[in-house]
Amino acid sequence: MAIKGVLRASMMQIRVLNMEDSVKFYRDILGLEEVCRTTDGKVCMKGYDEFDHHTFTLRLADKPGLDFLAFKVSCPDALNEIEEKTKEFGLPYEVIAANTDQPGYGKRLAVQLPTGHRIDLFAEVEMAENHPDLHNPDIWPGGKQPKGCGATMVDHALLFGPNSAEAVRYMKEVLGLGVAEVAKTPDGEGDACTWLTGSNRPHDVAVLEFDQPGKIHHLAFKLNSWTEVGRAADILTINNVMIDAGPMRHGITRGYTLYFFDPSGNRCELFAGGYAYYPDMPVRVWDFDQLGKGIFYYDRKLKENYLEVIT
Amino acid sequence: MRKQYVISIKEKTNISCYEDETLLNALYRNNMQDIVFGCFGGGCGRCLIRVEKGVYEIIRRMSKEHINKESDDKLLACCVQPRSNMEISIL
Repeated sequence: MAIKGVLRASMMQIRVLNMEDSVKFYRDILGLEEVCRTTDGKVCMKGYDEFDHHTFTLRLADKPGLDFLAFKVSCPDALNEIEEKTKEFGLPYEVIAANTDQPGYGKRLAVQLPTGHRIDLFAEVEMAENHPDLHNPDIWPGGKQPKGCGATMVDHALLFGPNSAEAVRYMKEVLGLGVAEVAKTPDGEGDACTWLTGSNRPHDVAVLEFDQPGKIHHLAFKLNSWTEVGRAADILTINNVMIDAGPMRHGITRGYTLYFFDPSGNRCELFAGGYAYYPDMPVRVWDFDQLGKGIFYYDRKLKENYLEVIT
Repeated sequence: MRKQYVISIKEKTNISCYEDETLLNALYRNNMQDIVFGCFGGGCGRCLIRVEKGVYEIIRRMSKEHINKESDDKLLACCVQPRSNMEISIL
């Protein structure tokens, strides 16, 4: 295995204002599978192309947003190394014991980023009961077509918060993530936004400098193709889901994309394509005044409120 | 037939809103430029209004970060349906 250390953004827990509406949205419209419910009422879900026990947890709360984004690490030794380096780096963290708040998960490190976000790291998780076929595999588990948009897996999240340069430094130096692209600040001196990746995705997480801590712009699931993004837009429209932007293409990552809101106002993205990242690739740089083209490649300008509407 | 009410937007114009749609949806249909169209889910807090007159129903929860008490006259337009003619201010 050539890819080691942090493999990918593989799991997240979000807050929702109404559990049953949210389950219907993520299960019936986006096409995730409901895996289990915890005794404290959380609902655990996953995409059809994921092997891990569950990858997406909904928690009922009085405000929407992200509880944490979790990265899967290649092995327990790599996790121990990250713990040591996190101590040295000086960010606060706690250890969450196996099989507590997330069924099927091993030990996790919960690290508090200076942006106000929590990121978790784990190496071990039980295999999902309904996982992709392993012997003479069909394209869908058991040959059964996924529901709705057919979201395949958790893909990435865009975090908004202060001290983003320090958070990026932690993710580079301790987690070993590569920087695929950056957007410069208007004066060109600093980075307004940074796109980071653990392995071959063009991004697993992006961080944008923002005055309020702990905010998310969007959370993303993966689709297979531009065709699936178009079909997803049809399905969202049929179900009266508010589409925010797209279907369209990003200049940054080169992905095909569609943004919309879940029933609690969390912005979601369905993302397909993008280039394959390798750690020897240099950083691609966007000037601040080209950010419109970076995000809305065809329109070449930022949509009004796109960067202001957040949870 | 779908019942509809007149929504007077203070110092602006009047629009119609169906009983089974939110105030924000009616503002969106009428292409109102005075309000921010955000998440439509009670989460982002961008469609803040004040109810000056009228009867309404709150049809979904609003984020506590933006609305502390549902008894307040400040509400998110995406979470409110009219039950009478109304007068509102866009904040």
